[in-house]
Amino acid sequence: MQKTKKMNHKGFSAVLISLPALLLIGLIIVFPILYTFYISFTNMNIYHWFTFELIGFENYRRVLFVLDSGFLRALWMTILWTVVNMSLQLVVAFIIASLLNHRHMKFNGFYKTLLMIPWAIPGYVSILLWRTGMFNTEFGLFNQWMRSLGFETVQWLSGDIIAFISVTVVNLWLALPFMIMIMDGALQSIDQSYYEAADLESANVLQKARLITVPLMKPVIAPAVVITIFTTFKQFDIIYLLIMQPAARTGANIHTILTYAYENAFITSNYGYSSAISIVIFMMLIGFTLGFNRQMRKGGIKHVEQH
Amino acid sequence: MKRIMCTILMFLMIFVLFGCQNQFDNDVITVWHDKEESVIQVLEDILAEELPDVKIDFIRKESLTDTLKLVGNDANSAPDMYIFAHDKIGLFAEIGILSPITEFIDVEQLEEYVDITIEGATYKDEIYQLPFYFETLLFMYNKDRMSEEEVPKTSEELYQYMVEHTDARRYGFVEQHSNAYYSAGWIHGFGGSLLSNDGVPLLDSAETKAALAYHLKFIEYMPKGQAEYATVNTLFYEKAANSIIAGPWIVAQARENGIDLGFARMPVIDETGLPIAPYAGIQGIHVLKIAAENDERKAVITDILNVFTNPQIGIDMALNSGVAPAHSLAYEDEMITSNELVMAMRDAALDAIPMPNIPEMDIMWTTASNMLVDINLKGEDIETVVALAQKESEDLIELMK
Repeated sequence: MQKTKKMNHKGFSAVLISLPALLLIGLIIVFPILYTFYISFTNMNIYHWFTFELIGFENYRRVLFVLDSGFLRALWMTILWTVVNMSLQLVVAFIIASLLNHRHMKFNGFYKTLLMIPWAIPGYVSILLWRTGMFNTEFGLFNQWMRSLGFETVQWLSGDIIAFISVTVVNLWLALPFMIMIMDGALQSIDQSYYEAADLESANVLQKARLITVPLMKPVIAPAVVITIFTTFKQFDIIYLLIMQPAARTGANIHTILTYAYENAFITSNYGYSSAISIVIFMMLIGFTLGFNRQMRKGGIKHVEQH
Repeated sequence: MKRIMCTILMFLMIFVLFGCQNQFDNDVITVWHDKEESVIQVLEDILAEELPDVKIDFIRKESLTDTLKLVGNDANSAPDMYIFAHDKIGLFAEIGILSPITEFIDVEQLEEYVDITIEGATYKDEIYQLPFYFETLLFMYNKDRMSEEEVPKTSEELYQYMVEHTDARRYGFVEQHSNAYYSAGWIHGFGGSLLSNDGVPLLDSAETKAALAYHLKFIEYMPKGQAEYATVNTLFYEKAANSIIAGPWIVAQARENGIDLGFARMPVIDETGLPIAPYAGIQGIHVLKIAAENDERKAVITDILNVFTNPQIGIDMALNSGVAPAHSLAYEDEMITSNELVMAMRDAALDAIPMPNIPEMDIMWTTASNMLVDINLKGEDIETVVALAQKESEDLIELMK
């Protein structure tokens, strides 16, 4: 009886102490989501700014049934963008992290510091540096090289395909440090005795990577992969600032669902409709998270069963 | 110790939470703005002289319009007034956060203002802005590269000049050809427009299509791919372009780069006999409705606005920042009449058209710029692109409602 009382008291104290933090989280994260959800059922726009009313599912009907094919194209582009970027990030980061952890590699610390530089520079600055310093058709470094070598200059951000490649390069530059850091940590956590045993079995590099490194890294890097997938899926600034700003469009037409939503909903100042789009995207991400977690759990169980 | 620390942290968080609340000071008139220091200094100086007892706080705000949309009717968070361009007047008037300035000053006091400034400040027959100055695009040239005789008076003369003076390393003329703000001047020169006064998109009008088709041959001799603000202006700064249509904001940098700058009237389009007529932006002060609801504050704001009708404000701003005063009496000052840039802008105002201040224009900046990119940079068929842009504009305007 005494023990239960003591535990209740402890629980109450814990709640009391956490309360301000919970309130803060509620205010900053939960409240905006709930409010957006509420606004998505209203006709809040500039003509009903303070006098908006509930209009049921009308905004959702517009989002899901009235939107033109542009939304679907943007959705497919977002999926392609996420898959390409995630695949490249995983492969490139794995190669670099493996090289950094190679026993014969010298000055590892220096290289690691160097690779972290893109992370240290604010994303906005990096993107504009790439746009004006590298890709600019008149003054950019790449076209300076092309001219020096006697080639025709290239419009790096103009065609859809070349712009997609250019934007992917910038995204890799910005995202790789995080993935390299996580993979570096994961590689260092692997017990070297596995490799020694593999050496005794005469396993080659690829076999060691496939059968030891990758399976043991998986649980460590999984959360980072999930975070990066979300970040890539809802990427806005890189694509928008490089090629899709209305006053500085380059000729490429690459819309992700966020740039598409911005261009087709937010400029209308129709907050009801914009909120409905935000909620639809939010639901997609929630669905994706649940699916991924289920897969992870299944994988985890399988992994344990195999052992 | 742990318990004490936890308690302190808990109270600290509560304090932070409540500290977020804005403290509303009744004595101070708050003005939000997005202007450079030299412009605000002029206002502070004249208020210190004319109304020394009035406490006024000028606060520079990034994303001023977005913030105003959210807090414009909240007495605890909104300013009393804000200084911004006239093109958001319709949006804020529709939202219901603006008060007409004629509630504070007599309409007769506005009779001495340059016509386009009052035209721009008016929305649905109400005047919502007290203008300070205006800006518009100018035809500027590098006198070392383009002689006075070569300055084009017509569009065909400009075209000939571009053909003769453009090569792999140099441009005869540059502009942000695929930006709606810049391209609108050509469309107006054909008698067209992006948007009618009552908010109907006019992208598919015969005049607009003729302007787009005619403009294409000039783009052949301008940078492609990236023809945005930084690239185009840098070409002029670096003397790789002999002439440019740009705003007065490039003047200081151009002169710093040693360019002997010349100003000329916009070329007249041969096909129509009309000059290229760019948009003008009118900068001035607006009063929020919630500020006007308080009698005490209303009286102070009235005093402030009456001081701001002094033409000396425009003169000082023009001399400090190279802008064109909105008050026509400012042009009787010798220092203004001898200022080449200011007078060039005043002349340009004769042809310029105030940016539409109706909310629908927010849509048109995006759809018209996308249309220009598709035609100018991607080389797509004008008829097809224009029809799609028109439909998209109509759909999005419908979506605003």
